Amino acid sequence: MVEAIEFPHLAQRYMVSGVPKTVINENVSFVGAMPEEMVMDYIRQAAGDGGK
Amino acid sequence: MPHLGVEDVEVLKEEFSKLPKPVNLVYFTQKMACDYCQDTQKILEEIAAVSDKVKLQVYNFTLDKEQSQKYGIEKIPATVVMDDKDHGIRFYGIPSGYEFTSLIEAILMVGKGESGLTEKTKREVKELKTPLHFQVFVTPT
Repeated sequence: MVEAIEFPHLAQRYMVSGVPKTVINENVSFVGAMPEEMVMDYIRQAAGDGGK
Repeated sequence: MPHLGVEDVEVLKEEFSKLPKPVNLVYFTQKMACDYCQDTQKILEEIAAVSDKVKLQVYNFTLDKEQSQKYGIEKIPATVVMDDKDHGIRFYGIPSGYEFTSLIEAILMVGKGESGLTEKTKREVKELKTPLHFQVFVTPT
């Protein structure tokens, strides 16, 4: 969990304009709450394990 | 002024008393050049004061270099939520507003040893080979 206002350099680096924004490793991100299955898709994508 | 109201304390007391495992909050702070460090520490102290099940350990980010490195802390305020094992859970910044709830939920998850994820998700996560780093950006309001 990263509080965006206290760490503006990170918020800028990951282009956080809406919250909650989840960044997985450096390559995958999504904004807002997601159903578990969709989060798993993003996880697989970040892991280079298929996904969408 | 306390951050936790009387009712908050009662609810937390009840929830924490049911935890099968104690939870450790490992907090990294410093006196200077950290706007939210003092308030964050006060919140953590109040949480830890609720129950013996939640223990708070405070380290100085710059002086306790060995501990900062051990937990991979590179920015403060930083709070590690763990039991006797480090699960990689970190809160960077003040856990106020909505994030207070997130912190309490993290404490309860660790203390129960239960993420609440479905068996299917747990199985799929277990099969992953690539280490993953999650950063969830939030604002306190």
